[in-house]
Amino acid sequence: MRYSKYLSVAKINVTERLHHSSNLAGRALVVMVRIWIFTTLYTATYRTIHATTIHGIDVAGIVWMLVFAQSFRQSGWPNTAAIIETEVKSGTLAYSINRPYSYLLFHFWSYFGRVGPNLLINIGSAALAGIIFVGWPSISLASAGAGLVLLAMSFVLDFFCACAIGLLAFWTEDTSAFQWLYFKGQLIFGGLVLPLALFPDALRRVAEWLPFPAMFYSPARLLVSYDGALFKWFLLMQVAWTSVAILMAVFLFRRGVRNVEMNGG
Amino acid sequence: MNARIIEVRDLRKRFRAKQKQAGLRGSFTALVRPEFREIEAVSGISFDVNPGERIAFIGPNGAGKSTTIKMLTGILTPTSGSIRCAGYDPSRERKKLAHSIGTVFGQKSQLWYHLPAVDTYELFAKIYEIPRVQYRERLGYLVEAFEIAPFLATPVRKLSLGERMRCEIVASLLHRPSILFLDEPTIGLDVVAKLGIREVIRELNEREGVTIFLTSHDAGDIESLAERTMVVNHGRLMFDGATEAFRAQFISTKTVELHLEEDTHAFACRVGTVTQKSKHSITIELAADAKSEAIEELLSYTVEHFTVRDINIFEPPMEEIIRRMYAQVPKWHTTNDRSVDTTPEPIPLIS
Repeated sequence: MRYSKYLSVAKINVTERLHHSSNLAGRALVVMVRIWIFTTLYTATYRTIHATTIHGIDVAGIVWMLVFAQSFRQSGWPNTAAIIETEVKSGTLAYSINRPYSYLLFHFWSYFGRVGPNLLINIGSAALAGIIFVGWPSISLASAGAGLVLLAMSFVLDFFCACAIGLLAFWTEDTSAFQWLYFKGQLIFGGLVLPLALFPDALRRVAEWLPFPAMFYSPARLLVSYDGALFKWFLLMQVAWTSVAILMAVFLFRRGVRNVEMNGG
Repeated sequence: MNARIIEVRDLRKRFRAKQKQAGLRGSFTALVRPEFREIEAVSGISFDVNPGERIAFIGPNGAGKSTTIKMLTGILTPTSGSIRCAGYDPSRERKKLAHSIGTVFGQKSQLWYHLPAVDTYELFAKIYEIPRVQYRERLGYLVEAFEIAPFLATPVRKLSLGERMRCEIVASLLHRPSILFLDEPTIGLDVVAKLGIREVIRELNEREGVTIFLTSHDAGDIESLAERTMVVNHGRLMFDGATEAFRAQFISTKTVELHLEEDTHAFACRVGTVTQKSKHSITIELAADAKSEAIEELLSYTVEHFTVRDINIFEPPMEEIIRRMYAQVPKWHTTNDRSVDTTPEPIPLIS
């Protein structure tokens, strides 16, 4: 009973997402359009330089990495940082913190509740686009297993990073600058436009230490082709960065909640 | 065992508010050299509440009412002083306290906006760990008492404000709290919705002994719901006593606003004092203690001699009541031993 409450939190978020079916469909369409743009872009690039592979990856491989990374990234919407910021700014925190649950776990399970339906729709539509534009991917059992482990961890990491950013609202009220940095970091180093495998070696070596590739790029990369050493590296990075993000979120919440200053009613 | 359900001693809350001068220059200055002003929202309040009491905690905007409620419910941490609420220290034992209290903030919603209220109730049943059978029984009772059955399955966004507020209160009562904190529960509601909510809160208090701690700007809420009134202003407790005594002492007038079809220059009723007059509207102030007869006479006269477009009857606003309290400082008294600071001033800080 004590922990089943969190499953109910996830469940109501699933229900709520399903009420936004037109919005879900719209976002899925956006993902499909992006996949078409990327297919066109990378096909033209490879043709221009007369290459069939770059760093061992062909156009189909890149497109499928982007199919996965884009769908995973879109599934966390609406983003946790903005939700927590709104709670702090609007004062609805008055309701959300005085209930018999852990505030952080409440948002954690809310996030996973949102991810469920979003992911199904996004991956379905993006995969359809991938199949149409570059054909079926070749996913082995090992790559599927590794990809799923990394995917679960990448959602946990994304949640706690976004949560920590949202909790900064206890001090700054407006966290949009931090959110912007975070999303741009994901965009550039998170393999959402350019897979890390295509980065120049020096830049890639630096980028691999950042939390962003450990998010949605890591499962996307492993799903497309299994690499044992890379799997271990990504898992290590995920565990390390997730630990840091959890500690930050817990610290910020504990400090923040003591300093809540709600104006007026 | 302590009989008191709430004990508050010398409660204080100070905030730091960033200051900025007007204009672009002010913005740059604030960026380089930020200035803060310390605001004391609550300045040493002490009171006790017995189980089952119905209390109105009132005061003008910025008086410290909501800040006090938020400290009582564990949302804000006091700067100093102590609180025991249902046996717990709210700021340290917030999760335990949550099982014993219900909160309704009239200007905020706890219901899932796009889902029917019943979905939120199902979630709250799990969150508060209410056994299934008890939840069903409780929900059945509350649905009937608050008459929300017709719109239980309607998404919250489609409900009127009155319907939504009834659903909000039900959400706060599912876990059988021993104290219900209501912060402006009737704000923005029409007369009928207000009456309905007052009636059901009162019934709940009588039937289940739930302690009601209410803040409101509506003198009607206070008169019909609370047996005890505490008035707070500038963070200090100014009055703590029976609502009847408060009403007799400070709610001394009612205002009647008449909108007429004809010109008001022929209006010659001698009841009350005309405070405002325009071509088709007239405002009359009546003594509250003679209200029923006076209003009856005034309305009879008006209906007999004029075609009435609209009639409004107002209680004096809270700001006006507080102003009168200050004006009557020497006459202040409390009807029991709970009281308080009878110092007419100072008003050192604005919250």
